[in-house]
Amino acid sequence: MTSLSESTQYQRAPQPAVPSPAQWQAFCQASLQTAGIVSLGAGAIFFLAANWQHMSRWQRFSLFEALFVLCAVFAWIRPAGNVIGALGLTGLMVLTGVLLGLYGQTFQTGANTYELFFAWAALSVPFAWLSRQPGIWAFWCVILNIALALYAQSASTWMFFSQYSESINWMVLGLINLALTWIFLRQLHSQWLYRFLLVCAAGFATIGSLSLVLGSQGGQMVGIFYLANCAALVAFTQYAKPKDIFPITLLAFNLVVTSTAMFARHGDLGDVGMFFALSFWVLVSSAVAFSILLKLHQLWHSEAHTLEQLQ
Amino acid sequence: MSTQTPIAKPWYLSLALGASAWLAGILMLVGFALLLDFNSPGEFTSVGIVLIGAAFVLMLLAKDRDFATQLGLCLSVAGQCLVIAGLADGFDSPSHIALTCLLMQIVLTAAMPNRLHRSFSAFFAVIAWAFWVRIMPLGGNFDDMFWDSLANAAVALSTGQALLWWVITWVPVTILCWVLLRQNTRKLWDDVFFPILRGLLIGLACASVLSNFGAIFGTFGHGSVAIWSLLSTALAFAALMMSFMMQSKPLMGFCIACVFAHLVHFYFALGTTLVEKSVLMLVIGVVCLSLQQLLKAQSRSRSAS
Repeated sequence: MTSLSESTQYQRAPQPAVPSPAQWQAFCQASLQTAGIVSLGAGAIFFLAANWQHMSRWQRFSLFEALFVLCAVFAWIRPAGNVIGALGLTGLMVLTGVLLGLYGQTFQTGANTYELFFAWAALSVPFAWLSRQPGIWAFWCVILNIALALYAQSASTWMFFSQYSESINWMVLGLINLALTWIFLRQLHSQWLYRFLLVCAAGFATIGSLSLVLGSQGGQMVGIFYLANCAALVAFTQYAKPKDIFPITLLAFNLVVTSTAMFARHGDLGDVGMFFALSFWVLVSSAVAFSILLKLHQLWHSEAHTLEQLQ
Repeated sequence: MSTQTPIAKPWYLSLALGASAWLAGILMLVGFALLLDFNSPGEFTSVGIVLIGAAFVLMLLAKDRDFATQLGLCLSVAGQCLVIAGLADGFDSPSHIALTCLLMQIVLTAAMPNRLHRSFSAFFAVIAWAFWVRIMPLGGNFDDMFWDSLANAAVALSTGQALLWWVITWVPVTILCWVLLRQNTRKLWDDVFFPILRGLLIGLACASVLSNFGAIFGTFGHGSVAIWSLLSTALAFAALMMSFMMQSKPLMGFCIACVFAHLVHFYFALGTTLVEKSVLMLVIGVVCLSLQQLLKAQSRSRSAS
């Protein structure tokens, strides 16, 4: 029997073409500009960290508020597509969080950490919206995910699901990230942001499923949320971004990990036998799953190619 | 099915397959360790070599069959771990262990008929090389190589000597990457040069930290030792440039992540005050932005003429 991948004709790694002088110029300029700005920013942060203990409360607030105003001026005088303008908006986002943290530390508000991150995410929406940059939206998503993850760890309920375990919290986080993926795919058309958010969604769903399999709590609702996550990942390949195997690759990886954990938890083959059995299970399940994915990828690619020729 | 056209195999599938093979290999290793109850270095090494041999045969016969390739990778991972455990048990000298690991990885890089395996082996060869060069002037025992960089602090080097060792470690790797990048033999590029280069570039971007090279030099010296993290950043930048030449976006993304990781490491590195670090970063920032402005002016004058 021929293997699935034998029928697949794959192009090997492309021989690198020497980049043109124009490409080199663009790459070097972008790299040097980014490295320069990051280095200056890091230098400023290091300097502040070095002198933090010697600064009074008034000096700390004044400094960050002055920086905030400076960033706002940059963002105002430069259009949104400009690098300096985008960096000004990024600076505004960062300083919003810094000022919130400084306020909480100085006046001991007693707020939970997740509240700080939720407030930061909420107050940063206008800056991310104005920037229209996938990188800045990715940063915003990281802030929101940190807030959600902290909430999922510290709070035991999600409004209507108070009787269920923490695994449901992770599943909900997965679904929220899938919703964000769908929104940003429509608004920004950024491939890497789409993939980044899908990885977050699948990661949270995997943590949730592992928490369900390895933990003692669970319930039918958790299973329903897990299926919802899986169905949403499959739906992406049908509706949101048709014939893209990235979401179902994540789903396959999730299934391999979850089934292995389930096998380890409930299998009863003795110590030695268990390790060999788990090893073979990982091999077989991953080989089968990824063979199917490779074949699907080839099939979808061929269909797209045929369609292009017809058009 | 319609006429098949050559398409690029998605990188994330290769990554997922490699990760699965590694997980399976570690599980199999534990299984072998429990089953055979090794007592001597010879037992470790001989079983390891048998597993690596079996992996080689499987990969040779497998061609592109996924399960056989996965099994081969898994056996090879378990076999290599057993060989290294045998070496650690049998040799007293850490430099002998590191050198033997390096030679083993070089042989596997050249011999294993699998692209993913070649990348893994090239990556681990870079780490073994960094360990070996590090141990040459410092000595220490096997555990210290991995866990305790402070233990070697007694053998103090001056900043200049340490810089020389850094150059000896990383310049050859960079040159090797460059030489491979300039190869233009189509067949060998596909199956040999590209996978090796991929592994070497990943190593160049992150092995200085993985082999604890920067940290160990950060524990002694004369006031400017945190510079090792910055030199690691420069290496990651070099890897980024070569990834750009390879037009590999995933590798470029990885190198950028490594640049930021080295920068965070620099912040926490001991031996240099935060004010000194701050001044260093500000100077670097000014130099980079000046160079960028210079390039911009040059390109403007060219387009004007």
